Amino acid sequence: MLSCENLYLRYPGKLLCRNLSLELKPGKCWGILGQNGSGKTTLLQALSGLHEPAGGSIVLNGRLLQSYSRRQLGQKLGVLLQEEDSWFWGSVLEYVLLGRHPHVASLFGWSAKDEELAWQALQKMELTEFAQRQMNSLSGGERQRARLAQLLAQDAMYLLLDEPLQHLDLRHQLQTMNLLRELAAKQGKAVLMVLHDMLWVARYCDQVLLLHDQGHTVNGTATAVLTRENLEALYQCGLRQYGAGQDAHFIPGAD
Amino acid sequence: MPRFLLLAVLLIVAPLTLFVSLLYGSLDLTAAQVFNALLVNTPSLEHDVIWQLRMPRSAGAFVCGALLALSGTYLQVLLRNPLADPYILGISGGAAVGALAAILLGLSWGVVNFSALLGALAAITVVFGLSIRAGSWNVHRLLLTGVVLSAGCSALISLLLVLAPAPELRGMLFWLMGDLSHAENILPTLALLLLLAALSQWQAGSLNVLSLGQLKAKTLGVAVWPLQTGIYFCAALATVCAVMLGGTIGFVGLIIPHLVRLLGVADHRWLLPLAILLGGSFLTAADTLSRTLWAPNQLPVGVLTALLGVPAMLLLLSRKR
Repeated sequence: MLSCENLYLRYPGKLLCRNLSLELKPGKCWGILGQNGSGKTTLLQALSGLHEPAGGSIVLNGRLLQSYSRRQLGQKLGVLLQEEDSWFWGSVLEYVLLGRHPHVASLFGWSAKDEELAWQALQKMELTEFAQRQMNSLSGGERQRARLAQLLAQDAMYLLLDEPLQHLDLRHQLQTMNLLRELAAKQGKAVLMVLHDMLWVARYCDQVLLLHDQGHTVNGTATAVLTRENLEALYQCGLRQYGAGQDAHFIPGAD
Repeated sequence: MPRFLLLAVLLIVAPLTLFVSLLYGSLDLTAAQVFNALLVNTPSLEHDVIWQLRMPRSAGAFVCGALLALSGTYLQVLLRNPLADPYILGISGGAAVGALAAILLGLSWGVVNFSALLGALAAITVVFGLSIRAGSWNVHRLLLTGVVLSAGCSALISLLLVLAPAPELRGMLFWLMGDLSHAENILPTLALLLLLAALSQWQAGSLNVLSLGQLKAKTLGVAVWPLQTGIYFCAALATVCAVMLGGTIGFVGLIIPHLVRLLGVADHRWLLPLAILLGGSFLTAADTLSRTLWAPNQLPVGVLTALLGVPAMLLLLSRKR
């Protein structure tokens, strides 16, 4: 289990998160919603060991996160960053294979298992025919799918994804969300996603965290947290709600 | 070109270039004589010429070229900048100031080398000290610090050249343009090259990941700070040793990694050994030409590396889509 207790996050000149406690359990999907600059990315990076918290603790499987080596973290936590440098020197397959880096035992190449997992990941992201293409020749959406494929090849137990659906068309958004849900349900992986679309959160997440300004947070089950009142307070704009529960969706504009 | 084939070609080209370099000089030797001198340990003129004169220089050229190519490859990854070369961080500038000052003072060659080492170490320390903040590398700051220090060293070099009396000036200019005629005991440097080659092979996979950016590399299990610090000091060490062997020979460290990439190999597990072999062969060939084209005079080897490297690079660039 990946959890944080009494977590405080600070960015130069700004408190982003105050006294936050949450538990990311195997088999569950978490969604994080919040305004721009509310600290979603910083929280995700803190949980990945990439940002030093200002207070509180983060614990992975009973041990403090900072007690793990980078390699151990790479084996357990798969992180999809919001942004990544666009230039890469090699093919899509070579890029996806780099996801196996935390597991590599040989100095000279990839094992058969590494290659197999990379090809499976490419297949899941419908990129098999792009495998030998140069990474730099891909479109934005194809590149995002390659990044997701690299994450799948990493085969980590905890998946922390910052805006996984960016640049994807509707079909690939649906496919990605189904895949993540399936990884949680069938393989017991724990998934935490920063998303902007409340529809996906309502439909695919068990737990939701709302990050307000000044470090105030609201979290709980998706049905309890995704209410019109909570979301209007979060985004500071009027919303209309259609449907309820997993089918709830919200459209900007007051009644 | 498939990387296996490229490796096979270079594994043949490297010893061949070394062998050819042993053939030429003021004493004409046949291939059979060179073979004989290499394989049979009987005292003869050919044996002495090969083992005491030509081999140290040719092997020195090979090791120097290999170190420059290795250092260039390291720095292009560390700085994430294709224009990086072994001299970009001011290490050679510091060494040059030290060496030229010693030449100007009329000191012996050993002291010149030691002075170059001191200058390089000073540059390495200054750049490292100013680039690190709170236990992390800021690559932009590193690049800027290096470039600024290089500029300062260039000004000092100009000053030393202006102050130099005519007899010292030629030696100083040769040192600046690269001169392998003082390469003598290369075994320690060869041992260092082998050590660096082994280290780089060990970390090549991590270099591949680091080329995706620091944050991304951390998520993929790379301990970024120790890796970057290791790369910096390995590149610095390779540069210092290359500069002590042959002065500041330009172009090899910049162009060789790019040549290998243009030949279709960018994976560092292959790029690094290929760059070492190509860099060594390239500088050995350039040095052979520099001492035979205008014999008995010598051309500065740095001029040859540019004259050979520029057309090769332009040709490959124009053929690349």
